[in-house]
Amino acid sequence: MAVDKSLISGSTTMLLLKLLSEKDMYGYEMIETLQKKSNNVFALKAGTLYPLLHSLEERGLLTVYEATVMGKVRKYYGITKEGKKFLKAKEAEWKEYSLAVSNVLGGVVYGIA
Amino acid sequence: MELHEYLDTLAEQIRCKKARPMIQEEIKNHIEDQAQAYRKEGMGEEKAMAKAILEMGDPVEAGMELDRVHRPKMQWTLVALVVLLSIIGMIMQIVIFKTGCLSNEENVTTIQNGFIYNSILNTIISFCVIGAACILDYTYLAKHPVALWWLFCFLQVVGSIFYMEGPFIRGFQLNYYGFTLMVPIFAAVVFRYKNKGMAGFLKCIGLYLALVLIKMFTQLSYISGMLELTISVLVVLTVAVIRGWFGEKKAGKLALIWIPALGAPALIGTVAVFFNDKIRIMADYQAARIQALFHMDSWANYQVLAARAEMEKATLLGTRRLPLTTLPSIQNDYIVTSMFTYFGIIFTLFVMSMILFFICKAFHLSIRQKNQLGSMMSIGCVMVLLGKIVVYVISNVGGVSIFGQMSMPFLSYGLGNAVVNGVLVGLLLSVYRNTDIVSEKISKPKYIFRFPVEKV
Repeated sequence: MAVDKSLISGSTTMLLLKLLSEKDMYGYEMIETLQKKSNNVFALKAGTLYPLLHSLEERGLLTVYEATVMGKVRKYYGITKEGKKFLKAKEAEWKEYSLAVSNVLGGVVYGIA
Repeated sequence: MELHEYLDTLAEQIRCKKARPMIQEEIKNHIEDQAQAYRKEGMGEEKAMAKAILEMGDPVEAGMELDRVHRPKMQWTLVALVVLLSIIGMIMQIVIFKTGCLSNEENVTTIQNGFIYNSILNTIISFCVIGAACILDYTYLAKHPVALWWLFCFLQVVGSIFYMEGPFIRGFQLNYYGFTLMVPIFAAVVFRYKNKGMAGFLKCIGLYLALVLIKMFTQLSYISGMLELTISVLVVLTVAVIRGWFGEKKAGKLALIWIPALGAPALIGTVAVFFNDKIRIMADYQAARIQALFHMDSWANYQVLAARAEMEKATLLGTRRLPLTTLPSIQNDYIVTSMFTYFGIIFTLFVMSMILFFICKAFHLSIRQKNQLGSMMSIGCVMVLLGKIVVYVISNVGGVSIFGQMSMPFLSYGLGNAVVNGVLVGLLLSVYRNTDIVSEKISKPKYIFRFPVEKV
């Protein structure tokens, strides 16, 4: 499989999976929600989002289905079992990473006495 | 940039044309949503659309990323296995023809060369069929599955009427290979009735029973083909029920298919063994085969016993001798036995494990396939291949056999075998190839004209 640029910067993947682990969403909804939740820090471009969603679906981390809501056919994405497993691993990785960064910066680190 | 310009530029980056419409649709929806949001903020129609498109970013970059995902994929492991197995089968056939034709007949070399030529040709044809079936879009099969099913039922009748005749293909071949090809069609039928609840479920069973009735009123030959079909149909239906295609209350539906499925053979078997002289439900040879299960020394077991004797003679590294005198048409019916005696136990077990690996790999891919129609069709293909292999290998190693082995996928001689197995393998590859390309929406008529009828 070709290595995907956006997958290497795996944090976007992690954020998306986290969003979808709460509820199924369509693309536009994801961008909106992500923006709201991050206080406008993460402004994800649709041009990045869709290729990423499609490649996550190809890898079996997401499933896709169509649903008609308010007269519009929308493609909804949901997280799979594998996706949840992947997310868990990514979260653990992220925690380790941020802990390491905090240690170096010497800030307050929660969870360490 | 206009909306259609953006979408066209995006689509141009995606090499696989079949994948384009569904992607364009999704992106278009997104842009419209975004534009609507801007309009709500108070922007003008045009300005909102322009901003929404600008917001999307570069269509070329996004298109190239999407192109990377939506590519046809080849399952090279399965391809390699099929090629390797077919070549091994071809070599075995050639060995048989080289040794087997050394009779007193005249023109021995011509006959020999004719068979060898056919053997090579069949292998090449099989590869061509695999290639063609693989490139074809399997979703076409699902456009009119029920009509296709009836067409094949009709072909069964034709096959029974012209049993030993026919210009290109004999009637009985039409029957046997027809059964095989009906399995993927049945999978498409099941997909057609998905989400139709109990009614859909019963329609599927009804179509299967229609075939059984047709066979009973014409000629119930090739029970082995019918059995392979039946087992595959059962598995396909079971998977569909478990996946909830026909709604909840799965246990009842499973009971509805499995109780008769297990009960009927027991009943037929009992009648055949004890009452065949009074109630004739099958041909004498068929009853004799069942009775022979209980009398190993019966004449009906001649081939089973011969195969056993040959198996006992097999050595680890092979004896370079063929069971030519003891078993009939070994290139068709006893190619595995021949392999055991000629090339030895080690080599043959190696070949068998390759076949087993092929089946397991293909089954795994079928179960995990995310396209539901594709998944069901390839489960059907794998099951019917497995059925053929099990029946064939059991008979070849001298196990009890009530069903005549017809053909061994990949290995045994014959054009029909080459073509039909080619179709099955090609379908498997086609489903995998199109994983990220096709959308399985069954196209419905786009425009429905309704004339207003005024009440008088």
